[in-house]
Amino acid sequence: MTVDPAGQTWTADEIAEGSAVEITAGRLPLRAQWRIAEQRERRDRGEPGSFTSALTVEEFAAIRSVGFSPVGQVLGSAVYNVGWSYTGCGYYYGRGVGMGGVRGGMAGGGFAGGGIAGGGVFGGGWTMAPVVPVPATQQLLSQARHRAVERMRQECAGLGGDGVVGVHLTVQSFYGNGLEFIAIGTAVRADGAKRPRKPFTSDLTGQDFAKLIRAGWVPVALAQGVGSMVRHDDWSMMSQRTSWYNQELAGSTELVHAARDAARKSLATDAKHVGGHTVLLRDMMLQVSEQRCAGGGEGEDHVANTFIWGTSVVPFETNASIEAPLPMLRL
Amino acid sequence: MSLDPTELGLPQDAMNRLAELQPDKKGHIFTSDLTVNEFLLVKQAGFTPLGLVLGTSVYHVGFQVGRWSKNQELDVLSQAMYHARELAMTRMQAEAAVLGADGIVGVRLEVEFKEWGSDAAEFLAVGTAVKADDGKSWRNDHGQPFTSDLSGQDFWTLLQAGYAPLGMTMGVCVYHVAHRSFGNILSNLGQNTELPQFTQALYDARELAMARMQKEAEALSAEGIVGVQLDQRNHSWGSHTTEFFAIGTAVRPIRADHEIARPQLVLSLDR
Repeated sequence: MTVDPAGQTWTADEIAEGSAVEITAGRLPLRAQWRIAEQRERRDRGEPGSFTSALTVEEFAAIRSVGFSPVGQVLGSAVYNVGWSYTGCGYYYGRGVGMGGVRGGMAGGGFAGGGIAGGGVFGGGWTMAPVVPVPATQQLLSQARHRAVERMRQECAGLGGDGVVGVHLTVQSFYGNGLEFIAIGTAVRADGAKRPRKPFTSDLTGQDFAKLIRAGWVPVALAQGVGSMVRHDDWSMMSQRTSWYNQELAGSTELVHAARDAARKSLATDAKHVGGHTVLLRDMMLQVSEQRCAGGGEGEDHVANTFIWGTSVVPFETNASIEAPLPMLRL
Repeated sequence: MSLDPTELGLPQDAMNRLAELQPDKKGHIFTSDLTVNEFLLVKQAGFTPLGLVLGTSVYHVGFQVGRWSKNQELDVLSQAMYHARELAMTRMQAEAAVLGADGIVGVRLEVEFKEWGSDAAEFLAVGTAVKADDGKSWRNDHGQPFTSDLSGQDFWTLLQAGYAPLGMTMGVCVYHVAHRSFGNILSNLGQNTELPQFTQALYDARELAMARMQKEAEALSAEGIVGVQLDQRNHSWGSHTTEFFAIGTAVRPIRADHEIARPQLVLSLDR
């Protein structure tokens, strides 16, 4: 039996059931909610030991120097089953084989009247296999990442924080096709009475956060973009790959570019959604894998997944003078 | 005047702005591949980041083997490594031109061998397109946005010193270093001695790469090249075939004097 902060008693089974309901709704499990509530109360009563933080000493000092204090380490996690979602590779479109969920933008791909003879396409009239988006995977990865960040933000709001700094986004595999998406950072609170409507999130270090604030910029939110694309290894790719000559693999270039571009566009949409002026990017990741043809046809597909993320920042008006950099030479 | 940010109301001002923020508001959002330091310094130097720009090329490198006992450039491979990077850079520049940028700062050139097989790689050029706040054109003689692989900090310092970047210049040489003959190995056995054919091979390869880079700078009518890096990589070719890659940023003077403010000497208490 467990007693929650409101005085209600719960059995372990009830907690598990109740937590499952909360998680499905995109919220925090019960135990996390209670811990946050307790920590919040302790802080409100001014008791010691009321804040935890993953900040280094330098970060702590930097944050204090611009009028913010840490209120607690906050975490958000979401486990998703990220299997391959069947959408077809687009290659067999023109031949009426293996379709299912392929969206527009690829008609005219596949074959234009050519024939396959002994694995090679001869004569005029073949076009390159198209690059096909995998909307299901893209949406799933995007949702998983956003959920983790949103749960972290809920912990921050629960603690009465104004925002989270130093967020680390990580992914670890969890049984089979499972992936755990984790966001972890330190909630901070501004000195004074004014509160933002929604806590900000940022992957900036404490030092970077302090530098931004001093220069008149404040972080708004983590912005994330995901792009997933697939393309069938067509005959032209096979022949280019085994060639003795230098040449660009046009189809693969298109695949990689499309995946990176989709991630950029998704980042821009996300950034617009959260608001802000400029996104300071942290990194861009590209994963390429080879797998059996998803269209049900013969051969292999190449799949490209891209993830791009950073912090959206916005300038604010202030009477505080902004210092010009001082050139210095370290001894 | 007080310098305490809390007294000055810095955290208050910041939180005010967040409270006013309208999500989903129309308007353009800029993206930048810069760190906070770089972002602030680029702004300070009078430039606004317009967006992340990139160019990519997945390239199949052709086939060529050097003769076992001969020092020689493998020109097929040199051309491949150069052409693929050029494709990526040109595409990145085209994106910047569309954005109406004056230049691209903080360019990273990467080569990644992924699931494309052992003789194909993705060549990637990423940078941040910037536009000058003063409205003047900073484009180079060819009317193209300048490119620079300098960090935001170096970019700021370069401008302070009265120089502007023109473009990234590069030179590539893939070289096959001859294997030593059995007789040669025997005759030097147990001796500390220079191996002239190895020295010659490495010299030759680096000189070729650097000379090509210099040629590119001349074509841009640059005064010089700063921040040159001279890399050597074996990629997937084994130990006797090496790529020598020289890259740097060609610069032009923007004023006659190149004095910078006298730097403050600092004794850091950090580790």
